[in-house]
Amino acid sequence: MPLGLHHVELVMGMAVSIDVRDDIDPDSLTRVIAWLHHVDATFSTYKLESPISQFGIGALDVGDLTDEVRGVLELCEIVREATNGAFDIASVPAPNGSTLDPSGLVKGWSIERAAQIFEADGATNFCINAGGDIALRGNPEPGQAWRIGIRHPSDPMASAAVLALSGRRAIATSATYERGAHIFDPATGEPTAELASVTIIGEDLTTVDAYATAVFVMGLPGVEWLMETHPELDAFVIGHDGLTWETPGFDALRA
Amino acid sequence: MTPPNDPIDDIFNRSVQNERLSQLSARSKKHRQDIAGKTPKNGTSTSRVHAAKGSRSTALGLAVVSTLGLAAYLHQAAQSSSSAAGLAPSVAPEISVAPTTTVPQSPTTTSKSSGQAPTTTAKSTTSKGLGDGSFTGNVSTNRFGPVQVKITVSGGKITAVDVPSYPSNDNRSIAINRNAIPRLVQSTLTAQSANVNSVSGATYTSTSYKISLQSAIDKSRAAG
Repeated sequence: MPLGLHHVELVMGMAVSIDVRDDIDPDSLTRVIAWLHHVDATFSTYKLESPISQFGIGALDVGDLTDEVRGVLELCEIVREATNGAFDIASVPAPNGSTLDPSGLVKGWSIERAAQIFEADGATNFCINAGGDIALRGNPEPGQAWRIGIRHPSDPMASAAVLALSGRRAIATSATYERGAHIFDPATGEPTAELASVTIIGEDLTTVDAYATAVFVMGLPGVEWLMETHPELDAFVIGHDGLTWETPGFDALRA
Repeated sequence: MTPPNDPIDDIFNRSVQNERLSQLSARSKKHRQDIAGKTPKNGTSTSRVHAAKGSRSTALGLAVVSTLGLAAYLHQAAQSSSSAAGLAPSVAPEISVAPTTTVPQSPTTTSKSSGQAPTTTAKSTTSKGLGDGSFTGNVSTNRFGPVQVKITVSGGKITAVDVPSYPSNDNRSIAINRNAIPRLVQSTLTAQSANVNSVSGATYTSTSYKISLQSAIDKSRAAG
């Protein structure tokens, strides 16, 4: 008889699928859902009244922002510097009409935080999938790894690779097949389309999500750059020509 | 269980630099004005010349040259060192990762890069062995910054490859064991319909979720 809980929350314009395999207090789920809606209200670039929109269009000054918003923006700047500008929230056209869109980092960050809420409440085995970016812990069943598919770019029902992951893991994929071209190269201001998808696997979803975007912008040389700067991360890249490239450590992650 | 340090916690532990965020805001505004100055919606490309775009091809070209250069260098090192027999097959083909050649490039950069490798490799016919010591290659700049490689040779074998400067703002040095020299594994895309718990890469919007694979998985979970 299965323990735990399973819930799908439609928030931040996407489906967040929560799969907890421990017997936890339902209030824990309530806290996570409240957190996700708080993030949506604060950081949504679709909501004109959100602080991030107000700051983006110039209606709020830096001094008007909460520590939370300033901290996220600061983090985005740190990632921009670490990626030599390949990840740049100030070059992205946002739905609110501004050119400030930290969504590429906020998603991963908020899900990593959600995972920490579950952990603080005693959960050790769970998987949170936010629109294809995943933070997981432990195992689905004792002795089994989570089986995580990487979506095939042209066939939504198929996986291009299947991974067996357990412990503390994060996996994020940047691609344009679902939402159309929405990743922009800060150097040109134009949508990038060199690669079909970039998947990064690591431990922290904040990092992994941002770097998936950055490598997508950089194209294939970005994977080599990632290997040099972040040897602890693994990558799986699919080109439009039907070729794939992976880091040497990736094969060990396959199911 | 203590959750590992969230990077953002470190940020909150020191004062957030308002000045930096003001600069961010200014940059954002500038980009918005740049975009507003471009041809709107209808999709026809503007006549505005993208300086950055032009330099991009160059940068990619340089990246190719730099990669092939390193490959050729290591190849040379491997070939000319009789005691490093195992190195040649494992190092040279892996580093020259074909990848960048499939990246769309201007004909100029492609011919440049393909011309580079043979030239350098040809030099490698010298039968001199590797001398012990540390050798630092020339700085090669690609789009993401300067890359410079240092090798350490001991007993005629490459024992370490360091990248003293690489595309990042800080100049941390990373040491890469010679058995773990960065290399990409290339293969052909395949489709699997395996049973999975979750799928990465499906940025499901609320609408598309209803017909998505994730939805199917959720249903099967709920029924299980």
